[in-house]
Amino acid sequence: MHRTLDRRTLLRGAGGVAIGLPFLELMLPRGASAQPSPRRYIVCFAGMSLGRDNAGKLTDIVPDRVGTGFDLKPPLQPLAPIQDDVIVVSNLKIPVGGPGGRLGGFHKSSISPLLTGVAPTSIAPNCNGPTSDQIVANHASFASKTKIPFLSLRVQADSYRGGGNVGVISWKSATQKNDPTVSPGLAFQNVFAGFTPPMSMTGGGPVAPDPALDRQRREEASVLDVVSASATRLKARLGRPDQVRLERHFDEIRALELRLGTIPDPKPMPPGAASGCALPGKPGADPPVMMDTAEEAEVGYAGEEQRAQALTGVLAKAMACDLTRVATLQYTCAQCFMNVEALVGVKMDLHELAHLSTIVGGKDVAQQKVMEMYGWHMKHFSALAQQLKSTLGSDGRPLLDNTVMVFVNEGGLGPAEGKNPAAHSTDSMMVITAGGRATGLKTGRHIRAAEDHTAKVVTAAMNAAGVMVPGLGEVQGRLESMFTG
Amino acid sequence: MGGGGPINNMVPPTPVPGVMGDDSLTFASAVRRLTRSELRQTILDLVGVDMAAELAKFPEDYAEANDVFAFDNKYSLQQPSAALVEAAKNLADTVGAAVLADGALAARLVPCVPKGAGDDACLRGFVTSFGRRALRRPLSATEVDAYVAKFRPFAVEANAFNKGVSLVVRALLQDVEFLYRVEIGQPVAGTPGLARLGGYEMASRLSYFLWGTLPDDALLDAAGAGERLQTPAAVKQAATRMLADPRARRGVDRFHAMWMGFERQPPAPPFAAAMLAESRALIERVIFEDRRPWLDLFRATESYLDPALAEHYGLPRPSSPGWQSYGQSGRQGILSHGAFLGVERKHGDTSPTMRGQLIRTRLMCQTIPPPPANLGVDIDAVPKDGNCKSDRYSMWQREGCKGCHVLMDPVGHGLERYDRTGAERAIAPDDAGKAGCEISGDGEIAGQGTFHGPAGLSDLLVESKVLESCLATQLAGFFLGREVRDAERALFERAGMRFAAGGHRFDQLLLDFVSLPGFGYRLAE
Repeated sequence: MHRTLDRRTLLRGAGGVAIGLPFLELMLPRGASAQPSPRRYIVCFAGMSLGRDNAGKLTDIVPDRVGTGFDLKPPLQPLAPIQDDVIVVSNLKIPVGGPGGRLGGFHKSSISPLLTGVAPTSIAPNCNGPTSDQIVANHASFASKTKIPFLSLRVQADSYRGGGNVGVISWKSATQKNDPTVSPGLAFQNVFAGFTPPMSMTGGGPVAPDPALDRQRREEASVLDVVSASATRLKARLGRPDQVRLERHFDEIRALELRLGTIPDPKPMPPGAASGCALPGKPGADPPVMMDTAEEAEVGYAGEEQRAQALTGVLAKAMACDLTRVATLQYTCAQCFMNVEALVGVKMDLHELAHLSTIVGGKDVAQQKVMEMYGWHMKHFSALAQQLKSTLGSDGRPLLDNTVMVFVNEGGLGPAEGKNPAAHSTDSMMVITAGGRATGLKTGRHIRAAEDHTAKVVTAAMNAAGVMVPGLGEVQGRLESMFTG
Repeated sequence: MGGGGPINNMVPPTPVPGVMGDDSLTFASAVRRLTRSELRQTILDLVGVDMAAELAKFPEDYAEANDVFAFDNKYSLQQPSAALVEAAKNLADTVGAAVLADGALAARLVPCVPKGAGDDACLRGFVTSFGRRALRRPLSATEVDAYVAKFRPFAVEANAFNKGVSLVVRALLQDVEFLYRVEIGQPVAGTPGLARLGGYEMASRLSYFLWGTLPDDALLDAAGAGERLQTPAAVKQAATRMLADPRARRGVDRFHAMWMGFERQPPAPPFAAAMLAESRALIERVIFEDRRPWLDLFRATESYLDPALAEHYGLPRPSSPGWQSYGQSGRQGILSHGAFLGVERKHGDTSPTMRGQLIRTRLMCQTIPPPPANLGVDIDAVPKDGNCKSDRYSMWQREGCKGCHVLMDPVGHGLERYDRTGAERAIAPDDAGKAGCEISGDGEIAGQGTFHGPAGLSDLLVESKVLESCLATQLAGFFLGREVRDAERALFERAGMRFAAGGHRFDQLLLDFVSLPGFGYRLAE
């Protein structure tokens, strides 16, 4: 894995000698001078709650100590290498009913409050307004700044039997969703096709012309030109309703054409690119989607461990090369039906794990396994943060310092539906941010909130990314303590 | 429930101009995207390559698990996105690469032997024939010229004719008209939004309805000549030929598998293949081979079983796969198949509520109100000590719950002696070792009568005469790509009654549908 010195390591330096900024400039891409690093914003999502029915304990996951130097319970242990970059906010709450509230029926009704701050109107997992990533991507400080306006990625390869929109966490509006890319290979292709790593990364010399590559690009351009021209002709013949329905398809063809079909000149370094900008390894073929892995399994698995690693690599390099500055990374679908056997060794889907006994060796291990699954999400969240930390941005600081990552999950833990605790609760929720040290966030802390809405943490994260909205959806205000103390 | 599209304005009921009577209704539709399954079959038939792995990268087709709509083609969910367009490009590029890499494959697609890399006439011939099949209409001369002009230079440059072929394939397979069934038709004067479909649009309607794939050359020929599929007689004639084609079996199998739920929730190994073969064999035998009344799906006293599956069901083990009598086992028809009994599993076991809901909504076409939005609906997964599974599934007896649950749970309880793999049992897994928890297997369809097991349920459903109109309504949902609307319901129920009166011939029901006056029209929505 690519590893460069991070700033702290350097500042501590050999023998603890403080090294000043002029030296840091040596680490900048050749020919570049220090300039402010652009902000970046990433929303990560897990389709699970903070413990299992009846047996879950918040003390298994929420740090005991608040402030700096807080303790990491086993599910949060993967955060250890980036603990100083993290803010763990516990004791949040999505109320039932009211502005930004959810419905009484749990599954999927917490999604809209969590991602948009807007109460849902049905138990469908649809967002009832724009999600925070879209608010950020459309903000003047982000819009049109990069080749790709935003990336929408999902690790879980299939909803298995969830269906509908449980696998979509990015919504332009209440009626327009941004389906995620689930294939690491396809994500790689979409992000890096036509991209030449900047001159400085190739040793500074001019890139030798490659006739085969050149022909490929001309072919690509011709194919997209024909497709686009045909779409334009069709559009003129369509009735108004179908024109409206297909408008996004036409727009996306055009975007593809602009992105891939134009024959690129050797590009100067994108202004926000980091010195760690390089092509990631091309992911291999996607692991196959298995709808049934074994006799007892009702649901499938598609190598989500490998998919998570590959998508993390693609996303980190997309950010490092400044190809995009906004992304969503959905690890698991709402009410997750992914079989967790390959990840934590019990043949069950994640949803059932939180509701059922799981007897191994005469002992019910379900709560332990739920915690291990939270830890699995944390492992990949932390890996992404670490990759951004080990890459220096255009200002010579770790990219993570100017990136705000926010991790939200579907539920909390509290009394509900006659169970105590219940996984179908949105009491005692937790949201974790990583990064943003250069943005005003006071990181490295555990904050115990006063049953604030989760949207206040998301608003703080958007603010830290430079998008100064007063709130998210129907929820006003931000969690001020993330910037103070 | 489920996701609404960007346009949800329902158009008012509109009759076919000049046609009198209750059945003259036209049907509202929007542009329809080919589903993953339709795309897979279309590319298999068009090019001869299986793109299952690339199609797994497409956005999913099915609605929410709790949406009663059974089929994969709900158009309100088919919203375009960057992920869709990029997946479609990847699909087209992958097929194009396969054609380039395999000379024999390319030779099967090209209707001539090229004289050199730059053979203009031969490339033109390929664009003309392949384009007609891919876009399901003939290309205009201008369009053919454009493809040839654009891609022939690459063939010359690469000194390879198939380079041009592959680029044409890449362009056509991500064309909007390939990915969607675009229907424009001729506007009907005086009725805004209503259009009479052209011959080629009719051909696609027929082929995706009856076959789940693209039209063949004969159908495209019929679309372009003679009556151009513009008269009921011409449509019926084309459909009759199509029903005799093996592709109709595939289409009819798939309709039933989606309707009964086992396409979306396929059975688990090790019996998955045997169970799907069992259900397919019965459907094909009743509808195509023996042309028996469709109700025999529910009345069959024998089943197509392989030795291991017969044993699993507790039946005598045959020496080889074949039809075998159920005897006095209590099994009868498709409701005792493992594929059906495996649908709607929960918590590692059957769910009487979900099975009851499946039967009420899918087989009886009844509406069960969703649980109040403010109610948590997950029952305790773990039985409390001393309680049997049937006590957990007793909402049908509880005040406040029973209004709806009485419709579902007692139906499911009647199938409880069959587990989620279709095997017989006397006690549920969580109840093992508990006294007094033996499953009775007695069920009730409130208002219709009591029954015991799949045979009893099948008889009761047949006697109640709900299956015919429900089948017609479900078939309509599949045809329309949306739920049947109130104004349309009576029309399809009448089709169900004609089906019953005509001896329950499924092929006749399909022909009845394509003969409806509204089949040849499109009301824009």
